[in-house]
Amino acid sequence: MTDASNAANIMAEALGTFMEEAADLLAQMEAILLQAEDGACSDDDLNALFRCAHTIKGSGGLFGLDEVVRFTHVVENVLDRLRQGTLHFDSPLISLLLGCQDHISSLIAAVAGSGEMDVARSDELIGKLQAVLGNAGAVVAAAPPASASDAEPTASGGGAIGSDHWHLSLRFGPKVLQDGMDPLAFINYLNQYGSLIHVETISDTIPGFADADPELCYLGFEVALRSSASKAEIEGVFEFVREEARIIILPPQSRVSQYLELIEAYQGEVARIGEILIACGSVTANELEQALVQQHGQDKRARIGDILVEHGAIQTVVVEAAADKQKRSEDKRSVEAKSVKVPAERLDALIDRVGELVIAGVGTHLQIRGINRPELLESAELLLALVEDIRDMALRLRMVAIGEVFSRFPRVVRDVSKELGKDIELKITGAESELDKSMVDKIGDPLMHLIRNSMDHGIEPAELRLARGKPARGTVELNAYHESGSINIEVKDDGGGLDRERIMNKAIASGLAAAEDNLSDQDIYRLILAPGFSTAEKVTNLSGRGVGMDVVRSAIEALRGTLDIDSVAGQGTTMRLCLPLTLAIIDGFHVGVGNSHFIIPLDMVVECIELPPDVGDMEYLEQRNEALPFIRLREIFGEQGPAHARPRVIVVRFGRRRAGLVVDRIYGKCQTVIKPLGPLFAEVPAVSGSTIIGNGEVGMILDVPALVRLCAGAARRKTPAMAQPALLTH
Amino acid sequence: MSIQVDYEEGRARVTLSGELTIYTAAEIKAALATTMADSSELEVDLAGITEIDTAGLQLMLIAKRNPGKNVRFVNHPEPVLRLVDLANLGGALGDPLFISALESQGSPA
Amino acid sequence: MSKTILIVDDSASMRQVVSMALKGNAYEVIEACDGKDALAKLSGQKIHLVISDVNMPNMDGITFVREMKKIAAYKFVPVVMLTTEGSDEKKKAGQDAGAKAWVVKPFQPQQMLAVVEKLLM
Repeated sequence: MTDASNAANIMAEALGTFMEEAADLLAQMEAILLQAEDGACSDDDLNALFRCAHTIKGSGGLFGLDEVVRFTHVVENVLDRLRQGTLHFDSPLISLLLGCQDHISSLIAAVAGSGEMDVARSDELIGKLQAVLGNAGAVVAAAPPASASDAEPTASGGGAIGSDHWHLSLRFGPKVLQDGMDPLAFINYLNQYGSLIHVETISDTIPGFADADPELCYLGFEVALRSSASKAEIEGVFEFVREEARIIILPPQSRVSQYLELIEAYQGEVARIGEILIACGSVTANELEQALVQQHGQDKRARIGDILVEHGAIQTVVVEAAADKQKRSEDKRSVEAKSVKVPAERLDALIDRVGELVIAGVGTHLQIRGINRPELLESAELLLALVEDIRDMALRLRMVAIGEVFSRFPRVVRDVSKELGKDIELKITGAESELDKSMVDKIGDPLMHLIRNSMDHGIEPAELRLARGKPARGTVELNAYHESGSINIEVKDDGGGLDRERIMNKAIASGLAAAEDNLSDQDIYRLILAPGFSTAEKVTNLSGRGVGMDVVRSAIEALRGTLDIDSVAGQGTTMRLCLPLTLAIIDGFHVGVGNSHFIIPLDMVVECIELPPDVGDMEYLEQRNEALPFIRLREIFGEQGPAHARPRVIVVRFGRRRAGLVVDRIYGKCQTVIKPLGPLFAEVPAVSGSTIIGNGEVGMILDVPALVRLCAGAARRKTPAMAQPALLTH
Repeated sequence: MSIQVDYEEGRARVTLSGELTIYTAAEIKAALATTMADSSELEVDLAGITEIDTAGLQLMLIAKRNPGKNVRFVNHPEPVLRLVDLANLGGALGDPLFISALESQGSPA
Repeated sequence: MSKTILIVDDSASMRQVVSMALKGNAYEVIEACDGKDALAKLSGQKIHLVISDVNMPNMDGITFVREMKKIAAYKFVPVVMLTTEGSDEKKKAGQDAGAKAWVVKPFQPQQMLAVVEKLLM
């Protein structure tokens, strides 16, 4: 039978999981007990200790490990008392429990096939545990629940006593759902009175699909509940449905015979009721069988045995459920894994080293590529790929959610709204987007300025908004999202939009632009970022002095970011900040001038062209009918080394501006860890950092924005007659 | 509540959204019955379910009781997972479930 | 998702007490002063539970429940009836109308909250 062997396989696999789980739990148990010996045992520890035994017992029952269940059940009772504070640790008790832990361990080892189940040892320890329980019972009067009368010995037989929790057997009236009563809501409510140990949904009574009326209730429930509530309280949960339902509530420590009655009552209806009771932990298989033997004699034994083990298929379901649950709790455990706090500088040191590792890896790779050894090359490539993975992981260690920065803005918006007398709402999305911690620290101020600017200049006064048919309440949106290796942060308002004319007039008045300049909308909008620019006719104390926006620009440049501005008159303005995810490492383009090496951030490189031989002294060249200003790095850095007969031009872009950088040699792409510049380089213009390149030499990382500005300035000075629209910045 | 049925390669994909409760159980059952008449492989996407009760859960069990029809529930959202967990029906339904963060609220067993 | 509860009672203080207890536990509350008012306030919106007095002017609670349950959208709404006297006859009529839960006045707001939480998950 494939089904049966399948079930056996699942069982065997799950048993393996149980073994591992039990080993973990026992180790945990030991650790807590040892801790208790030192007198340091918290409530959490006691709960954990109880759970260890409880889980072993509960899962052990699924695998029919009766001796494990029988023994652990008693241990659990003792741990429960400890947990509830009706029993306290002392040295002999700890020794006893450690002995019990060893014994559970050996019982489980016996299941795995090593050694015998030492039942005599179980009985000896159980005797000692019961002595402890007996004492505790004597000290604490109220150990049995208030409704002890329900547990009065009834009749003959079933001398054994069931578990320490309530067992509820619930069968609702067919119309309960139509009456608006929800059985699972009641069961959920039982949580108010204690903890649900186990719920078993009886669905055997559902007819086939065609006959089932989805508005009738077919389901029954067997519930194990640990609770100190009274029977009346528990019954009270079902008061509204009691009349049409069959509700049986067995108090803790009920006679096993009572469970047997339950089994008898449902046997016709639910074949696996015995199994369910065991799954609930309400009785153990042993107890049930023994009681049955006593009550009915030998012939019945076969029958209950059938009930417990028959129907391989049903058992499969139970085991699957257990395996599923086990898997899920394991997954959860890994999710719960605690975080580790690490000082930032250690992380930085790690990332620095990893960066150098990448560089060394690239260097090695380059050299290996030079010699014709394919097998060596292959392993070098693998190594490099792994190193790059490690780099990515290392960088991710420093990633934090941008929400950290965003969280201060609701308060700012609230305060500034009051100050301005405007009603403005802030909407934040994408707060979970991550970027490097070092960036997070630096974007707070620029964002603050952008938001204030939107509130001050963007959002119109309420009267004007209403006149324009907009809601009186203005909205500023702050939105972060990742896009191709960068993070975009938008500050968007639903205000009046930027006034092209007014900006232009102001720029002309402040000498930032000339009337004849034919500027694109983008270029005009960008003028508001220029130093000393302000359009607010009424200078407010927030952002009317044009100070803030200039700060924004330099801050963004320092972060190697760009700022785009979109605006629709009457509808609003969006300022989009685009930043790299990290400052620590960049993809670079490695070039050479004379004897020196330079790195250009790759995302700023547009293309490489040859320098036309006929440019002469001109500071710009013509490319696709546009003037491209260029500078010779040789001149900028005073480089003396050997020049190349046919120099190359690297076309770079910063924002919307383009410029050419003339170099001698092109080495190609490389990955670069940025090292901060020492004081040695303080005087060198247009360099933003240094790095070690693959062959061990130092390379300078070019500050492209500075070079582009330098270039633009030079071009404007040298070619005053030429209108260079894209170059007018300030 | 909305029910959308798409067919692909003899398989039906039923996308439910809104309530899966006593209010909608009859309607959803009827839609499932119609779909089962056309197709014996049903994948029921629960991602859009916002509310579920015992009737809804029972309907999931009922749907599995049509011999020859294979009904699979996918994309259980949080309210569904919660109830499946409470009723301890993960195994009986036999559909792959995502890890339930609510596990910890349940029993330690 | 917060759940919406309709309270129908002719006593404003009664409504207020219950309403405050419920709102304090994140329930949305709609108040109506009698059966007629309550029917008018249903207006198609989702109601998760109704708490209704029995004796009210204009339309009594039992008639209200019977009328409400005729509307498809409210057919299965659980109803908690508030009653002062333990009249079994009234109770029987109410249960036939579809009101299965009964709470005897006077009650503590906490008791009502417990009943609501028992019925709504």
